[in-house]
Amino acid sequence: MAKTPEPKRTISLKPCDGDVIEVSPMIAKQMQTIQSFIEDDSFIATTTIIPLPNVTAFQLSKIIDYLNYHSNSKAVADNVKESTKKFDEEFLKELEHDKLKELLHAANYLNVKEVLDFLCQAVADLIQDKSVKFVRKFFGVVNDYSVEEEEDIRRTHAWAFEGVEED
Amino acid sequence: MEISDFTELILGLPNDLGLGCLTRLPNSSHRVAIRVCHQWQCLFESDKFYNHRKKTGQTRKLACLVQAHDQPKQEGERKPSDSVSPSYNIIVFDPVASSKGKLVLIGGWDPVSYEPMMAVFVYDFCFGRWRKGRDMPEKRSFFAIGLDPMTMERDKCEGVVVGDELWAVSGYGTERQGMFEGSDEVLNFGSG
Repeated sequence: MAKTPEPKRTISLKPCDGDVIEVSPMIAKQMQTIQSFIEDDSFIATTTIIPLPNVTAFQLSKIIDYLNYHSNSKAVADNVKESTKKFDEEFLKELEHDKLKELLHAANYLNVKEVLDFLCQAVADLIQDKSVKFVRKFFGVVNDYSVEEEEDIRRTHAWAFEGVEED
Repeated sequence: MEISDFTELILGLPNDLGLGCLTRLPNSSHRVAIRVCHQWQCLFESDKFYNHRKKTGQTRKLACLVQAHDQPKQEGERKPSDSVSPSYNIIVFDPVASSKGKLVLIGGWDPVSYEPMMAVFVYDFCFGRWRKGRDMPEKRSFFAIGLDPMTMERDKCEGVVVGDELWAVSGYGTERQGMFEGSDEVLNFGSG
């Protein structure tokens, strides 16, 4: 028996600084925050526009790009893995440090697990093998060690700092 | 301290996200992370954080190659632990399953004099550093346990580290080749 194709419908999302962006229900579903909108009885897919005051058009389109790419490439063939890796690298290249953190915020607001996992890993990768100073600066962490404490902890771990970027 | 007690691990990020990032840091970067600030040090050195990493699948199995080497006595250079070098023929126990992230090196031979040693060294993967445990009461070159005195010989016994205690389980007396015992003994190497 032939299936009748489902009527094509999209979900309209309005970022804080740009035009409405249409996404497929499949993509929207991966955003938990949007999903709860959709499940609401008063939601009418064809007319309702979901406002996203905490997400910029840039961030929204990045997240949608990521989900689109990754939902289309679930296969595990080696060549797919390779191109996925390339996509991920390109994806991060466009994000300077602050943008990466802001995108994390946006993904957190939209509650997109797949993107959150990916970005947390990206942050971890970024600071891996970096100096303590770099890490503090990147995260805006205030150094609360006294000079003596710093020296002490450095000495205790001195042998372990080979291969780590110098301060 | 519970993991949820940490606040603003990463400025401007909700705590679960900050924790999400830090949890994904590989073990090799922990040594840098503990120097960032007191809170991070507290986090990275806590059992709770280790358990959290384990639960979220971020821990990795490590294979350890331990090698004794003579360390030149140079000004300003510090040895991993006190003045005794870890020795040859040290016995290494499964650090993860039995002793929660600790690697215990026991006995062996002095690399220079080939004398059997009583030293016990403990490497803590959470803290990323060596400490010297309490010496065994007797010298042991191959595996053995130093209860004072050990109640019986135990060739080929199984060593298991539980917390700060080393258990020698079963084994057989040299005269009773292959006749394994059902008993065990324990050594506490806690304080150095």
